[in-house]
Amino acid sequence: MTPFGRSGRSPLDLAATAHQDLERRHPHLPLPDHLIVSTQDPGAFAELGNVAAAVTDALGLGSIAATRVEAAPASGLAALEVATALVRSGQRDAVLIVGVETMTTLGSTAANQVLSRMADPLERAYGLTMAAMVAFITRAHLETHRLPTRLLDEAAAKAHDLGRLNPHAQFQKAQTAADIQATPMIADPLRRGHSAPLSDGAACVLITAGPGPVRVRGIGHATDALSLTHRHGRRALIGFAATRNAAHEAYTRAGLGARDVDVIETHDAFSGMEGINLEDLGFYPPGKGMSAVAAGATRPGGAHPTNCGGGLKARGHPVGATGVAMLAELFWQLTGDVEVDERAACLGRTPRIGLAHNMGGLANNVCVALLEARS
Amino acid sequence: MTGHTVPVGHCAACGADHHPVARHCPRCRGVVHRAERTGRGVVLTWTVVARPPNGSDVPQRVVLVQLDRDDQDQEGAFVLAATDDATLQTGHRVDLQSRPDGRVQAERTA
Repeated sequence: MTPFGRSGRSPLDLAATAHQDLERRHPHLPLPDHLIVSTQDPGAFAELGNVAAAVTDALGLGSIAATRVEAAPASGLAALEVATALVRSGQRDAVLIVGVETMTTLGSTAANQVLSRMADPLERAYGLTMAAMVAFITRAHLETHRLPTRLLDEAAAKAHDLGRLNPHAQFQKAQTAADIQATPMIADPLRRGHSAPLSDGAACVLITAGPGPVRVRGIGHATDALSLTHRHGRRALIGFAATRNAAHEAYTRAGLGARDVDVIETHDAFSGMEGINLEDLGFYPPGKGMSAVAAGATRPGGAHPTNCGGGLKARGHPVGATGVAMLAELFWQLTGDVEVDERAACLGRTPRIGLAHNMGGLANNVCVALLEARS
Repeated sequence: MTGHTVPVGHCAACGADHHPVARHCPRCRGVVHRAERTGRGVVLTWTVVARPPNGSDVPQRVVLVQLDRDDQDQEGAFVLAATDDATLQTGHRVDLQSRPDGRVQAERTA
Protein backbone atom coordinates (compact mmCIF):
# COMPACT_ATOMS: atom_id res chain seq x y z
CA MET A 1 0.00 0.00 0.00
CA THR A 2 1.22 3.51 -0.70
CA PRO A 3 0.78 6.42 1.64
CA PHE A 4 -2.45 8.24 0.78
CA GLY A 5 -2.46 11.96 0.02
CA ARG A 6 -1.34 14.39 -2.64
CA SER A 7 1.35 12.46 -4.56
CA GLY A 8 1.97 14.18 -7.89
CA ARG A 9 2.43 10.66 -9.31
CA SER A 10 0.62 8.68 -11.99
CA PRO A 11 -1.80 5.84 -11.23
CA LEU A 12 0.62 3.37 -12.84
CA ASP A 13 3.49 4.57 -10.67
CA LEU A 14 1.38 4.31 -7.52
CA ALA A 15 0.11 0.86 -8.49
CA ALA A 16 3.69 -0.35 -9.00
CA THR A 17 4.74 1.06 -5.63
CA ALA A 18 1.85 -0.64 -3.84
CA HIS A 19 2.76 -3.93 -5.52
CA GLN A 20 6.40 -3.56 -4.47
CA ASP A 21 5.23 -2.96 -0.90
CA LEU A 22 3.18 -6.18 -1.02
CA GLU A 23 6.18 -8.15 -2.32
CA ARG A 24 8.46 -6.61 0.32
CA ARG A 25 6.11 -7.63 3.12
CA HIS A 26 5.46 -11.10 1.67
CA PRO A 27 8.44 -12.16 -0.48
CA HIS A 28 7.26 -15.74 -1.08
CA LEU A 29 3.79 -15.13 -2.50
CA PRO A 30 2.74 -17.17 -5.55
CA LEU A 31 2.73 -15.32 -8.86
CA PRO A 32 -0.72 -14.09 -9.82
CA ASP A 33 -2.44 -15.58 -12.86
CA HIS A 34 -5.05 -12.80 -13.03
CA LEU A 35 -4.92 -9.08 -12.24
CA ILE A 36 -8.01 -7.14 -11.24
CA VAL A 37 -7.71 -3.37 -11.17
CA SER A 38 -10.17 -1.56 -8.93
CA THR A 39 -10.52 2.03 -10.09
CA GLN A 40 -13.46 4.39 -10.45
CA ASP A 41 -12.64 6.90 -13.16
CA PRO A 42 -8.97 6.97 -14.28
CA GLY A 43 -10.06 8.37 -17.64
CA ALA A 44 -11.46 11.51 -16.04
CA PHE A 45 -9.01 11.83 -13.15
CA ALA A 46 -5.79 10.89 -14.99
CA GLU A 47 -6.56 10.58 -18.74
CA LEU A 48 -5.75 6.87 -18.50
CA GLY A 49 -7.56 4.25 -20.58
CA ASN A 50 -7.15 0.49 -21.06
CA VAL A 51 -6.17 0.54 -17.43
CA ALA A 52 -6.05 -3.21 -16.69
CA ALA A 53 -3.49 -3.81 -19.44
CA ALA A 54 -1.57 -0.69 -18.46
CA VAL A 55 -1.26 -1.78 -14.83
CA THR A 56 -0.24 -5.29 -15.92
CA ASP A 57 2.63 -3.73 -17.85
CA ALA A 58 3.55 -1.35 -15.04
CA LEU A 59 3.78 -4.25 -12.56
CA GLY A 60 5.73 -6.46 -14.99
CA LEU A 61 3.19 -9.26 -14.78
CA GLY A 62 3.75 -10.53 -18.30
CA SER A 63 0.78 -11.84 -20.24
CA ILE A 64 -1.62 -12.80 -17.44
CA ALA A 65 -5.35 -12.09 -17.66
CA ALA A 66 -6.33 -8.60 -16.55
CA THR A 67 -9.70 -7.03 -15.83
CA ARG A 68 -10.97 -3.71 -14.49
CA VAL A 69 -13.78 -3.81 -11.93
CA GLU A 70 -15.76 -0.65 -11.24
CA ALA A 71 -18.56 -0.07 -8.73
CA ALA A 72 -17.94 3.61 -7.94
CA PRO A 73 -16.09 3.90 -4.59
CA ALA A 74 -17.20 0.32 -3.79
CA SER A 75 -14.91 -0.95 -6.55
CA GLY A 76 -12.42 -2.42 -4.08
CA LEU A 77 -14.77 -4.89 -2.43
CA ALA A 78 -16.51 -5.54 -5.76
CA ALA A 79 -13.08 -6.59 -7.02
CA LEU A 80 -12.75 -8.91 -4.02
CA GLU A 81 -16.08 -10.49 -4.91
CA VAL A 82 -14.93 -11.16 -8.49
CA ALA A 83 -11.48 -12.37 -7.43
CA THR A 84 -12.94 -14.73 -4.85
CA ALA A 85 -15.34 -16.16 -7.41
CA LEU A 86 -12.51 -16.72 -9.90
CA VAL A 87 -10.45 -18.58 -7.30
CA ARG A 88 -13.28 -20.59 -5.78
CA SER A 89 -14.52 -21.67 -9.21
CA GLY A 90 -11.08 -23.08 -10.00
CA GLN A 91 -10.61 -20.71 -12.92
CA ARG A 92 -7.57 -19.04 -11.28
CA ASP A 93 -5.07 -19.93 -8.55
CA ALA A 94 -3.97 -16.45 -7.46
CA VAL A 95 -5.69 -13.16 -8.27
CA LEU A 96 -3.94 -9.90 -7.55
CA ILE A 97 -6.24 -6.95 -6.77
CA VAL A 98 -4.77 -3.50 -7.26
CA GLY A 99 -6.89 -0.54 -6.16
CA VAL A 100 -5.73 2.83 -7.41
CA GLU A 101 -6.95 6.38 -7.99
CA THR A 102 -5.27 9.76 -8.43
CA MET A 103 -7.75 12.56 -7.71
CA THR A 104 -5.65 15.57 -6.74
CA THR A 105 -4.14 16.64 -10.04
CA LEU A 106 -7.47 17.88 -11.44
CA GLY A 107 -8.06 20.42 -8.68
CA SER A 108 -10.97 20.30 -6.28
CA THR A 109 -13.65 21.89 -8.51
CA ALA A 110 -13.02 19.57 -11.45
CA ALA A 111 -12.55 16.53 -9.20
CA ASN A 112 -15.85 17.19 -7.45
CA GLN A 113 -17.54 17.51 -10.84
CA VAL A 114 -16.22 14.05 -11.70
CA LEU A 115 -17.46 12.66 -8.39
CA SER A 116 -20.88 14.29 -8.82
CA ARG A 117 -21.41 12.12 -11.94
CA MET A 118 -22.24 9.36 -9.49
CA ALA A 119 -25.53 11.13 -8.75
CA ASP A 120 -28.76 11.00 -10.74
CA PRO A 121 -28.82 13.60 -13.57
CA LEU A 122 -31.80 15.44 -12.06
CA GLU A 123 -30.03 15.67 -8.70
CA ARG A 124 -27.04 17.17 -10.47
CA ALA A 125 -29.35 19.67 -12.17
CA TYR A 126 -30.14 21.07 -8.71
CA GLY A 127 -26.42 21.63 -8.12
CA LEU A 128 -26.25 18.78 -5.62
CA THR A 129 -22.82 17.38 -4.79
CA MET A 130 -22.15 14.03 -3.12
CA ALA A 131 -21.73 15.99 0.11
CA ALA A 132 -25.19 17.49 -0.40
CA MET A 133 -26.77 14.09 -0.95
CA VAL A 134 -25.17 12.79 2.25
CA ALA A 135 -26.25 16.01 3.99
CA PHE A 136 -29.92 15.13 3.31
CA ILE A 137 -29.45 11.78 5.05
CA THR A 138 -27.34 13.19 7.88
CA ARG A 139 -29.85 15.94 8.69
CA ALA A 140 -32.81 13.56 8.57
CA HIS A 141 -30.96 11.11 10.82
CA LEU A 142 -30.01 13.81 13.35
CA GLU A 143 -33.48 15.37 13.42
CA THR A 144 -35.38 12.07 13.53
CA HIS A 145 -33.35 10.86 16.49
CA ARG A 146 -33.05 14.33 18.11
CA LEU A 147 -29.25 14.26 18.02
CA PRO A 148 -26.95 17.32 18.18
CA THR A 149 -24.72 18.24 15.23
CA ARG A 150 -21.68 18.22 17.55
CA LEU A 151 -21.70 14.42 17.11
CA LEU A 152 -20.41 15.01 13.57
CA ASP A 153 -17.49 17.06 14.92
CA GLU A 154 -16.66 14.39 17.48
CA ALA A 155 -16.72 11.63 14.86
CA ALA A 156 -14.28 13.60 12.69
CA ALA A 157 -12.00 14.25 15.66
CA LYS A 158 -11.99 10.53 16.48
CA ALA A 159 -10.98 9.69 12.89
CA HIS A 160 -8.08 12.16 13.00
CA ASP A 161 -6.95 10.86 16.38
CA LEU A 162 -6.57 7.36 14.91
CA GLY A 163 -5.17 8.60 11.60
CA ARG A 164 -2.27 10.16 13.48
CA LEU A 165 -1.10 6.61 14.31
CA ASN A 166 -1.26 5.39 10.70
CA PRO A 167 1.86 5.96 8.59
CA HIS A 168 -0.24 5.61 5.41
CA ALA A 169 -2.80 8.24 6.45
CA GLN A 170 -3.23 11.50 4.58
CA PHE A 171 -3.88 13.37 7.85
CA GLN A 172 -1.53 12.50 10.69
CA LYS A 173 -2.29 15.36 13.05
CA ALA A 174 -4.96 15.34 15.71
CA GLN A 175 -7.85 17.74 15.22
CA THR A 176 -10.28 18.62 17.97
CA ALA A 177 -14.03 18.86 17.61
CA ALA A 178 -13.60 22.63 17.91
CA ASP A 179 -11.14 22.58 14.99
CA ILE A 180 -13.70 20.73 12.88
CA GLN A 181 -16.49 23.08 13.97
CA ALA A 182 -14.43 26.03 12.72
CA THR A 183 -14.22 24.75 9.14
CA PRO A 184 -16.59 26.22 6.52
CA MET A 185 -19.96 24.69 5.70
CA ILE A 186 -19.99 22.80 2.38
CA ALA A 187 -23.51 21.33 2.49
CA ASP A 188 -25.39 22.15 5.67
CA PRO A 189 -25.03 20.45 8.18
CA LEU A 190 -21.76 19.08 6.74
CA ARG A 191 -18.58 21.17 7.05
CA ARG A 192 -15.34 20.73 5.16
CA GLY A 193 -13.90 19.09 8.25
CA HIS A 194 -16.61 16.42 8.04
CA SER A 195 -15.56 15.34 4.53
CA ALA A 196 -12.95 12.81 3.45
CA PRO A 197 -10.31 14.51 1.32
CA LEU A 198 -9.49 14.13 -2.35
CA SER A 199 -6.60 11.65 -2.38
CA ASP A 200 -4.11 9.76 -4.48
CA GLY A 201 -3.15 6.25 -3.47
CA ALA A 202 -2.95 2.55 -4.24
CA ALA A 203 -3.29 -0.70 -2.33
CA CYS A 204 -2.87 -4.40 -3.20
CA VAL A 205 -4.09 -7.73 -1.90
CA LEU A 206 -3.58 -11.24 -3.27
CA ILE A 207 -6.41 -13.80 -3.23
CA THR A 208 -5.17 -17.37 -3.45
CA ALA A 209 -6.75 -20.79 -3.68
CA GLY A 210 -4.46 -22.23 -1.04
CA PRO A 211 -4.61 -21.56 2.70
CA GLY A 212 -3.40 -18.16 3.82
CA PRO A 213 -3.33 -16.31 7.12
CA VAL A 214 -6.74 -14.70 6.43
CA ARG A 215 -9.78 -16.32 4.85
CA VAL A 216 -12.76 -14.67 3.12
CA ARG A 217 -15.78 -16.02 5.03
CA GLY A 218 -18.55 -14.23 3.14
CA ILE A 219 -19.33 -11.36 0.81
CA GLY A 220 -22.60 -9.49 0.33
CA HIS A 221 -23.40 -7.05 -2.46
CA ALA A 222 -26.51 -4.94 -3.02
CA THR A 223 -27.64 -1.84 -4.88
CA ASP A 224 -30.27 0.83 -4.34
CA ALA A 225 -32.06 3.32 -6.60
CA LEU A 226 -29.71 5.85 -8.16
CA SER A 227 -32.09 8.68 -7.31
CA LEU A 228 -32.72 9.34 -3.62
CA THR A 229 -36.32 10.26 -4.47
CA HIS A 230 -36.89 6.79 -5.92
CA ARG A 231 -36.27 5.16 -2.55
CA HIS A 232 -39.35 4.23 -0.59
CA GLY A 233 -40.43 5.21 2.89
CA ARG A 234 -39.00 7.64 5.41
CA ARG A 235 -36.54 5.00 6.67
CA ALA A 236 -34.73 5.54 3.33
CA LEU A 237 -33.77 9.01 4.54
CA ILE A 238 -32.08 7.97 7.80
CA GLY A 239 -29.98 5.00 6.69
CA PHE A 240 -29.03 2.86 3.73
CA ALA A 241 -31.02 -0.18 2.63
CA ALA A 242 -28.21 -1.41 0.38
CA THR A 243 -25.89 -1.63 3.39
CA ARG A 244 -28.49 -3.59 5.34
CA ASN A 245 -29.09 -5.95 2.40
CA ALA A 246 -25.38 -6.47 1.64
CA ALA A 247 -24.64 -7.08 5.32
CA HIS A 248 -27.48 -9.59 5.60
CA GLU A 249 -26.12 -11.47 2.60
CA ALA A 250 -22.55 -11.43 3.93
CA TYR A 251 -23.58 -12.59 7.41
CA THR A 252 -25.76 -15.35 5.94
CA ARG A 253 -23.04 -16.62 3.60
CA ALA A 254 -20.48 -16.54 6.42
CA GLY A 255 -22.75 -18.07 9.04
CA LEU A 256 -21.87 -15.15 11.28
CA GLY A 257 -23.60 -12.18 12.85
CA ALA A 258 -22.61 -8.73 14.03
CA ARG A 259 -21.94 -10.19 17.48
CA ASP A 260 -19.08 -12.24 16.03
CA VAL A 261 -17.20 -9.26 14.53
CA ASP A 262 -14.11 -8.04 16.38
CA VAL A 263 -12.94 -5.17 14.16
CA ILE A 264 -14.64 -3.04 11.50
CA GLU A 265 -13.67 -0.95 8.50
CA THR A 266 -16.62 1.17 7.35
CA HIS A 267 -17.09 3.75 4.62
CA ASP A 268 -17.06 7.09 6.49
CA ALA A 269 -16.68 9.38 3.48
CA PHE A 270 -18.50 11.99 5.60
CA SER A 271 -18.61 12.23 9.38
CA GLY A 272 -21.85 10.84 10.66
CA MET A 273 -21.67 7.92 8.26
CA GLU A 274 -19.62 5.88 10.73
CA GLY A 275 -22.53 5.91 13.16
CA ILE A 276 -25.24 5.46 10.53
CA ASN A 277 -23.33 2.60 8.90
CA LEU A 278 -22.77 0.82 12.21
CA GLU A 279 -26.54 0.84 12.73
CA ASP A 280 -27.18 -0.53 9.23
CA LEU A 281 -24.50 -3.21 9.77
CA GLY A 282 -26.28 -4.39 12.92
CA PHE A 283 -23.94 -3.13 15.64
CA TYR A 284 -26.30 -0.53 17.12
CA PRO A 285 -30.06 0.05 17.06
CA PRO A 286 -31.41 2.98 15.01
CA GLY A 287 -30.39 6.33 16.47
CA LYS A 288 -27.63 4.98 18.71
CA GLY A 289 -24.66 4.76 16.33
CA MET A 290 -23.48 8.37 16.29
CA SER A 291 -23.72 8.64 20.07
CA ALA A 292 -21.72 5.43 20.43
CA VAL A 293 -18.97 6.88 18.23
CA ALA A 294 -18.89 10.08 20.30
CA ALA A 295 -18.84 8.08 23.54
CA GLY A 296 -15.72 6.21 22.44
CA ALA A 297 -17.31 2.82 21.84
CA THR A 298 -15.64 2.58 18.42
CA ARG A 299 -12.25 3.74 19.65
CA PRO A 300 -9.35 1.55 20.78
CA GLY A 301 -10.57 -0.92 23.35
CA GLY A 302 -14.21 -0.04 22.76
CA ALA A 303 -17.06 -2.44 22.12
CA HIS A 304 -16.74 -2.16 18.33
CA PRO A 305 -13.30 -0.93 17.22
CA THR A 306 -13.92 0.81 13.90
CA ASN A 307 -11.64 2.41 11.32
CA CYS A 308 -8.54 1.99 13.47
CA GLY A 309 -6.40 3.41 10.64
CA GLY A 310 -8.37 6.65 10.59
CA GLY A 311 -11.01 5.59 8.08
CA LEU A 312 -11.70 7.44 4.86
CA LYS A 313 -11.89 10.69 6.79
CA ALA A 314 -8.25 10.66 7.96
CA ARG A 315 -6.52 7.87 6.01
CA GLY A 316 -7.79 9.47 2.79
CA HIS A 317 -10.17 8.32 0.08
CA PRO A 318 -8.65 7.58 -3.33
CA VAL A 319 -11.96 6.12 -4.41
CA GLY A 320 -10.82 3.04 -6.37
CA ALA A 321 -8.24 2.16 -3.74
CA THR A 322 -10.39 2.62 -0.63
CA GLY A 323 -11.96 -0.84 -0.49
CA VAL A 324 -8.61 -2.52 -1.08
CA ALA A 325 -7.06 -0.39 1.65
CA MET A 326 -9.81 -1.62 3.99
CA LEU A 327 -8.81 -5.20 3.17
CA ALA A 328 -5.12 -4.43 3.76
CA GLU A 329 -5.91 -2.74 7.06
CA LEU A 330 -8.02 -5.69 8.24
CA PHE A 331 -5.30 -8.13 7.12
CA TRP A 332 -2.75 -6.30 9.23
CA GLN A 333 -5.06 -6.19 12.23
CA LEU A 334 -6.11 -9.85 11.95
CA THR A 335 -2.50 -10.99 11.61
CA GLY A 336 -1.04 -8.62 14.18
CA ASP A 337 1.03 -6.90 11.50
CA VAL A 338 0.14 -3.27 12.20
CA GLU A 339 3.21 -1.08 12.24
CA VAL A 340 2.55 1.13 15.24
CA ASP A 341 2.29 -0.38 18.69
CA GLU A 342 -0.34 2.06 19.85
CA ARG A 343 -2.50 1.24 16.84
CA ALA A 344 -1.99 -2.48 17.32
CA ALA A 345 -3.14 -2.08 20.86
CA CYS A 346 -6.26 -0.28 19.73
CA LEU A 347 -8.14 -3.52 19.51
CA GLY A 348 -7.55 -4.49 23.11
CA ARG A 349 -7.71 -8.15 22.14
CA THR A 350 -6.62 -10.43 19.33
CA PRO A 351 -9.26 -10.05 16.63
CA ARG A 352 -10.53 -13.09 14.76
CA ILE A 353 -13.30 -11.70 12.55
CA GLY A 354 -13.07 -8.45 10.59
CA LEU A 355 -15.80 -6.72 8.59
CA ALA A 356 -15.23 -4.38 5.65
CA HIS A 357 -18.04 -2.17 4.34
CA ASN A 358 -17.47 -0.32 1.06
CA MET A 359 -20.07 2.08 -0.38
CA GLY A 360 -20.48 3.48 -3.89
CA GLY A 361 -22.35 6.73 -4.49
CA LEU A 362 -25.12 7.46 -2.03
CA ALA A 363 -25.10 3.78 -1.08
CA ASN A 364 -26.23 2.98 -4.61
CA ASN A 365 -23.76 0.09 -4.76
CA VAL A 366 -22.56 -1.50 -1.52
CA CYS A 367 -20.35 -4.47 -0.64
CA VAL A 368 -19.71 -6.05 2.75
CA ALA A 369 -17.00 -8.65 3.35
CA LEU A 370 -16.29 -10.79 6.40
CA LEU A 371 -12.70 -11.95 6.89
CA GLU A 372 -11.42 -14.50 9.39
CA ALA A 373 -7.94 -14.96 10.79
CA ARG A 374 -6.83 -18.59 10.53
CA SER A 375 -5.84 -19.90 13.92
CA MET B 1 -48.59 30.05 -5.46
CA THR B 2 -51.36 27.52 -4.81
CA GLY B 3 -53.18 24.77 -6.66
CA HIS B 4 -50.18 23.54 -8.65
CA THR B 5 -49.73 19.92 -9.61
CA VAL B 6 -46.63 17.74 -9.93
CA PRO B 7 -46.36 14.81 -12.36
CA VAL B 8 -45.53 11.52 -10.66
CA GLY B 9 -45.18 7.90 -11.67
CA HIS B 10 -47.93 5.74 -10.17
CA CYS B 11 -47.49 1.98 -9.97
CA ALA B 12 -50.55 -0.02 -10.96
CA ALA B 13 -49.23 -3.04 -9.05
CA CYS B 14 -48.19 -1.72 -5.62
CA GLY B 15 -49.84 1.70 -5.65
CA ALA B 16 -46.64 3.62 -4.84
CA ASP B 17 -45.92 7.05 -6.31
CA HIS B 18 -42.47 8.24 -7.32
CA HIS B 19 -40.80 11.30 -8.85
CA PRO B 20 -39.37 11.85 -11.42
CA VAL B 21 -41.36 9.38 -13.51
CA ALA B 22 -39.34 6.21 -14.14
CA ARG B 23 -39.73 3.41 -16.69
CA HIS B 24 -40.57 0.88 -13.98
CA CYS B 25 -41.78 1.23 -10.41
CA PRO B 26 -38.61 1.71 -8.29
CA ARG B 27 -40.29 -0.22 -5.49
CA CYS B 28 -41.65 -3.35 -7.25
CA ARG B 29 -40.72 -3.05 -10.95
CA GLY B 30 -44.44 -2.81 -11.82
CA VAL B 31 -45.97 -0.95 -14.75
CA VAL B 32 -45.94 2.83 -14.27
CA HIS B 33 -48.66 5.27 -15.27
CA ARG B 34 -48.18 9.01 -15.23
CA ALA B 35 -50.45 10.84 -12.78
CA GLU B 36 -50.81 14.38 -11.49
CA ARG B 37 -50.69 15.02 -7.75
CA THR B 38 -51.31 18.18 -5.81
CA GLY B 39 -48.11 20.14 -5.23
CA ARG B 40 -48.78 20.25 -1.50
CA GLY B 41 -46.38 18.45 0.81
CA VAL B 42 -44.02 18.64 3.77
CA VAL B 43 -40.25 19.18 3.95
CA LEU B 44 -38.50 16.05 5.25
CA THR B 45 -34.89 17.22 4.97
CA TRP B 46 -32.89 20.00 3.33
CA THR B 47 -29.41 21.32 2.65
CA VAL B 48 -27.61 24.36 1.29
CA VAL B 49 -24.84 23.62 -1.20
CA ALA B 50 -22.17 26.25 -0.66
CA ARG B 51 -20.49 25.78 -4.04
CA PRO B 52 -22.52 23.81 -6.59
CA PRO B 53 -20.37 21.76 -9.02
CA ASN B 54 -21.54 23.86 -11.98
CA GLY B 55 -19.03 26.48 -10.78
CA SER B 56 -21.61 28.86 -9.34
CA ASP B 57 -20.69 30.70 -6.15
CA VAL B 58 -24.36 31.18 -5.30
CA PRO B 59 -25.39 28.86 -2.46
CA GLN B 60 -28.21 26.57 -3.54
CA ARG B 61 -30.91 25.64 -1.02
CA VAL B 62 -32.60 22.36 -1.92
CA VAL B 63 -35.37 20.63 0.03
CA LEU B 64 -36.65 17.06 -0.12
CA VAL B 65 -40.43 17.07 0.12
CA GLN B 66 -42.96 14.29 0.58
CA LEU B 67 -46.12 15.00 -1.40
CA ASP B 68 -49.52 14.62 0.22
CA ARG B 69 -51.75 11.76 -0.92
CA ASP B 70 -55.48 11.50 -0.47
CA ASP B 71 -55.31 7.78 0.31
CA GLN B 72 -53.75 7.69 3.75
CA ASP B 73 -52.51 4.11 3.49
CA GLN B 74 -49.95 5.10 0.84
CA GLU B 75 -46.91 7.31 1.29
CA GLY B 76 -46.51 10.24 -1.07
CA ALA B 77 -43.66 10.56 -3.54
CA PHE B 78 -40.37 12.17 -2.54
CA VAL B 79 -39.61 15.27 -4.64
CA LEU B 80 -36.50 17.46 -4.73
CA ALA B 81 -37.17 21.18 -5.01
CA ALA B 82 -35.15 24.36 -5.11
CA THR B 83 -36.21 27.28 -2.97
CA ASP B 84 -35.31 30.93 -2.49
CA ASP B 85 -36.73 30.88 1.05
CA ALA B 86 -33.76 30.81 3.46
CA THR B 87 -36.07 29.98 6.38
CA LEU B 88 -37.53 26.79 4.92
CA GLN B 89 -36.86 23.84 7.24
CA THR B 90 -37.93 20.32 8.09
CA GLY B 91 -41.62 20.08 8.91
CA HIS B 92 -42.67 23.16 6.97
CA ARG B 93 -45.62 22.84 4.62
CA VAL B 94 -44.85 23.77 1.01
CA ASP B 95 -46.47 24.10 -2.39
CA LEU B 96 -44.44 22.77 -5.31
CA GLN B 97 -44.48 24.07 -8.86
CA SER B 98 -42.87 22.26 -11.81
CA ARG B 99 -40.57 24.29 -14.03
CA PRO B 100 -40.23 23.80 -17.78
CA ASP B 101 -36.67 22.49 -17.29
CA GLY B 102 -37.97 19.58 -15.19
CA ARG B 103 -36.89 20.99 -11.87
CA VAL B 104 -39.36 21.90 -9.13
CA GLN B 105 -39.62 25.07 -7.05
CA ALA B 106 -40.86 25.08 -3.44
CA GLU B 107 -42.66 27.89 -1.63
CA ARG B 108 -43.77 27.81 1.99
CA THR B 109 -47.48 27.80 2.71
CA ALA B 110 -49.27 28.77 5.87
